[in-house]
Amino acid sequence: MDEHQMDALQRRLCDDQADVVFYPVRHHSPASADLLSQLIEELKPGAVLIEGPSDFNDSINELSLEHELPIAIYSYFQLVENQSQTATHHGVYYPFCEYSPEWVAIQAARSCGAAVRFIDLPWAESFEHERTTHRYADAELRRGRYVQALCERLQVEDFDDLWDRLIESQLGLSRRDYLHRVHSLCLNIRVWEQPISLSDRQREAFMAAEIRASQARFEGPLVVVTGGFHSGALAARLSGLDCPGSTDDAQENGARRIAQRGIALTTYSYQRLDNLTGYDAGMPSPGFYEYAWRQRRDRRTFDHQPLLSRLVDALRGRKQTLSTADLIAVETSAQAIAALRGRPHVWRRDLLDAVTSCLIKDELEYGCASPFIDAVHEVLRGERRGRLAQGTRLPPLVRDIQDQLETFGLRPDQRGRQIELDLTDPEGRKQSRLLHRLRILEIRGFSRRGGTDFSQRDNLDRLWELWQLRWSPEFEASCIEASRYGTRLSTAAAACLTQQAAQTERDATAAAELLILAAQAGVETLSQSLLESLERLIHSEPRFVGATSCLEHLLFLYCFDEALGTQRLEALRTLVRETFSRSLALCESHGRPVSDPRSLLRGMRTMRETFRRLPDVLDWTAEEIGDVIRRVQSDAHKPPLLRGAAAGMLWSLGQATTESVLEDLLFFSDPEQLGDFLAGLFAVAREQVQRQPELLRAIDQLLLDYAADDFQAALPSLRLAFTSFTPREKHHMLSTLFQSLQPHLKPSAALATADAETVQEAVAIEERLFEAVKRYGLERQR
Amino acid sequence: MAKKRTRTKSASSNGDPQTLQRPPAEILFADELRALAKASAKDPKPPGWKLSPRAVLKFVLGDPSEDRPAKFVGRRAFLERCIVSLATNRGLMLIGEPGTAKSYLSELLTAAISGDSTLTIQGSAGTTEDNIRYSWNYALLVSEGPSENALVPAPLYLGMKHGKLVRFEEITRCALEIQDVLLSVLSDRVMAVAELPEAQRSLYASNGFNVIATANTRDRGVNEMSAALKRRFNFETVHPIADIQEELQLVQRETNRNLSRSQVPVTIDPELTELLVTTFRELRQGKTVDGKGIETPSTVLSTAEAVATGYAAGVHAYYYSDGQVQPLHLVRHLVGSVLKDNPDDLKTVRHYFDHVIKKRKTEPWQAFYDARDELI
Ligand SMILES: Nc1ncnc2c1ncn2[C@@H]1O[C@H](COP(=O)(O)OP(=O)(O)O)[C@@H](O)[C@H]1O
Ligand SMILES: [Mg+2]
Repeated sequence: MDEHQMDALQRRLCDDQADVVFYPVRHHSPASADLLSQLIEELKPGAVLIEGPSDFNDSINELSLEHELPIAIYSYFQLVENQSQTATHHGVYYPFCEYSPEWVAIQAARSCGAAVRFIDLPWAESFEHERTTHRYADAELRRGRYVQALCERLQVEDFDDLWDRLIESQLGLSRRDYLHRVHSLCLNIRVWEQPISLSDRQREAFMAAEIRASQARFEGPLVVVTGGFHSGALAARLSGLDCPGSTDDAQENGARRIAQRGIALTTYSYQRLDNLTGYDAGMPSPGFYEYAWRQRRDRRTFDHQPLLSRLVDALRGRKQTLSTADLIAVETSAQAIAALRGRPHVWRRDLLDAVTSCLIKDELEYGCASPFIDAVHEVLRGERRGRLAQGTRLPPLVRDIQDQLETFGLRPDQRGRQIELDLTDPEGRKQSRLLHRLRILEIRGFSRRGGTDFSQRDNLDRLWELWQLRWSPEFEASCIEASRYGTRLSTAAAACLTQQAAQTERDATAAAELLILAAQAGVETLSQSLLESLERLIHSEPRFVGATSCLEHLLFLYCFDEALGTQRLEALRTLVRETFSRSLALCESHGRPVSDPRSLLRGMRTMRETFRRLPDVLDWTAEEIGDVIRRVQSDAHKPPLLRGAAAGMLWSLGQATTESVLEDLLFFSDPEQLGDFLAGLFAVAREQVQRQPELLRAIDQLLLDYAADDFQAALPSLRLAFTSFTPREKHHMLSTLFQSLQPHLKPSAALATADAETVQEAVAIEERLFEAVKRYGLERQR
Repeated sequence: MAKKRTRTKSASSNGDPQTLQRPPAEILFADELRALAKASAKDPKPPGWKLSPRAVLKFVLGDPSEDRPAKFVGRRAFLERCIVSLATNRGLMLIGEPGTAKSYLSELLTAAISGDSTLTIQGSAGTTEDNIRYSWNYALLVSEGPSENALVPAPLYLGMKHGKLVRFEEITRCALEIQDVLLSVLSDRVMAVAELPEAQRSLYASNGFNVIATANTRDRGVNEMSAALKRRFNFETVHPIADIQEELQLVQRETNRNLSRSQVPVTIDPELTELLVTTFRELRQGKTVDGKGIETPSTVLSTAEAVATGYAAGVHAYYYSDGQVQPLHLVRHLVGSVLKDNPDDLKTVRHYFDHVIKKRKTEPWQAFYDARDELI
């Protein structure tokens, strides 16, 4: 595009008397909004065409209800990959606040009797990447080398500052100047940012077609309100001029289809608007710009004093002291900084900088919080949150949620209440399921405060739950947002879990946790695709302890659960089978070293337990398992702990005799290895060990043969090995050993009758004694 | 006994920047300052300032329209705050890690605002009131009695008297009583000279006087400042350079400038600078460019150290080698001047070589890696 063409386009763009006037906005800019409403009032156009979702046009009258701003249009859909049939759920906002040009344009159009239409391609059809969560982000304007170069030249920090400097803080800026500056800024950005993305071009083609259709349909001039980045392309398309990215190329997208979609109004808040950063950034500090907007509307010169006094309140609210001297310093600095930046009044950044400069007396880490900075941001952000008018149409999911809350008497109120649910009672279970579904969908106002923990399972004596219910201002908005997952609560919760599973990788434990969540939300949420995703997660789990911890959860759900309805649930059989196979495979490939011995042993026990309880579910016979485990047991590259556990497993599954275990023991008689081997053996074959005194005798014999330092070396791990047993079991084993060695003696009476406390005391005394021996260096003289 | 010191005028006999080892900023950039003063002659200035705030900003941050690069690399808003602070009734306290150019920035600011960066108090445990306020020429004191003639002014006295900025380096290293000398001066802008006759007992600060102090965050806790003094300063944290490209350019420019000043006809090429700066940044931030976490040494690895390392490597290449700076020279001076004899840091850096540098298969990284035996 040469200079001449650019001039021609720029001239066309700045013509505000043409039959189609292109008005460039920065979304959420008060200056933009104010000049736009003046334009509409003067021009009295036939229609105002706005960059907004055209699939909302049928409902556009809903915008004239008595809403409290900020609100947003929420557009959502479900996308299905044709090949894998996996579904993802997406949603995006078009937020409006009091000073949004789009909103102001709607009001101005209405008061002069002009029609209002949204002309943007429905989002579902232009969906490109999942990063955006809201549509009025000005992402096109913020990025790129042109903006960077311009910031450098005008000596400002970033795009926000640039906009403030060029437009927003120029209170006397005329419409002519506005159009001129913004069009030329945006046109340059466009020229520098080639190639223009496909989705931008698609949207612009769609918008251009809508404009043409409107030309035919409406009498009188049209005002086209879009982000400034698009204005040039639209004008070029309509008047046959040149502009980068104003041609189309056909594109096919057969890989995915849209399965379900909807669009509805929802509430929004300044907090949300302000939190948006990076790709999602809009205009920061909505509270500040609302204030600036109101001052502007009242045609007053800008006065920052009221903001300063709000700041004082906010700081005092945060228990920060702010002396009068400090306040004077902030005020003086703000004025001086504004002057240095060539502004006649103190603007947003000046306030922030003055506070940073005068109040912070510490090192300020990048991006780190300071109560002062937080307070300024709070004031600049404002607290406003929106509210929908009575009778606004709501998506089906919201109604389903409301109906169900009504049915089960769980509607939250302002005061808040706690309810306790008994999970053994069918009614309590139903309520619990409903609440869990809400929790999965992150519906606001419901929090679980306590109750049975089904993933830790510390205490299953009492099956109960405690919930806190309190109406939250975000309740409705969160319901609307959850609509992207479906139209009914149960399917939406299932879809949400499925998506979470699909976004997780190679993690069987995460699969088990999702499974428990689903079980708590009711087994209906265990959809086929969720089960498939879980299976995939289990299959790709690379760690033995990951697979067996999942197996442990499954074993619980399938064999022992009494509250969730998963006992003997057909749908779980495959998962149990697969998880067991995966665990066995990982056991065989487990190498050195052992990072977490306890979980390893626990995993081995879980496998044994699963086989014992569910031989019919597994596709392994005891002999087949024995073959695998024997390979593990005899593999010299495996750690002794695992080999001991394998020996124990064989023994307890009846796949090894006591004699062969004794042989194994001899093999591990090295003091470096004995303790680990025994720890493994004891953990898995606890009962066998106690029933077979031969083993203990053999151990005793080994130890007697040790030289003193060998014994010292083996002792710590031996101690650890014996922690598998309870004190009572240990006592029992010792007295059996004692008797078999010296049958003519009675076991010491004291040993036999001492209670646990006394024994513990004795052990403690003994330990102190040994410590003292060590401290005085006497241990070598044994 | 102290001799009465007469201040050397900044552009006097030894003012030829060519012969000075390190000329102060007002001499080094004399032409530029003069041009800026002329251009901003009509603009409003805070009383006692030689340049307008905007001209100061231009001096420090450079001016792309005249093709002058930034002397100090930092965010504009940060610098605007610093300059505004100096025009108010509070001092400016620059805090940050060592080597973030706190001293350099304070030199630039004083040179631009007062035309004099030499009124400097060097803070240390041994700093006394005499070093800050004034002392006496005892011979004169004995013969003439207390008079202004017998008084030997120290930087604070001079700054107040002539309406200039005073630099207080490493203020937190001074004892608290010494720091507190500043208290009344900053709040009441007057210094009491108790020994002088009634009429001369109070030295009122002339317009243009203020204090720029620097403090090292690694020193904190040695002498935490009193709350009263803190109130009299605006604090600004100086961060390491955020943008790698800017750091690259700066290191390249400074290294070559230092080399040419010492008449070493050697330059360090951009690839080596990139290697040097990347290494320093990665070790400093504990993160490789592709986002992997690594251990950081306890030594400061600031931009200043990168420049010093590049400079030393250049000198080495010239005198002991064929005049080509090689990665080997960089490794050697990394050890010699930065890691010195801290065995833990050496270990950390060795680990970094073995796990990060080794994988970079292109030159000069390979040669850099091949020189790892120097890390002992
Ligand atoms: N942001 C920066 N801009 C310009 N030079 C810098 C910067 N950071 C470090 N340097 C370099 O570091 C050198 C010395 O820094 P110095 O002022 O002594 O640091 P400090 O006083 O913070 O310890 C400067 O002369 C300059 O070469
Ligand atoms: Mg310093």
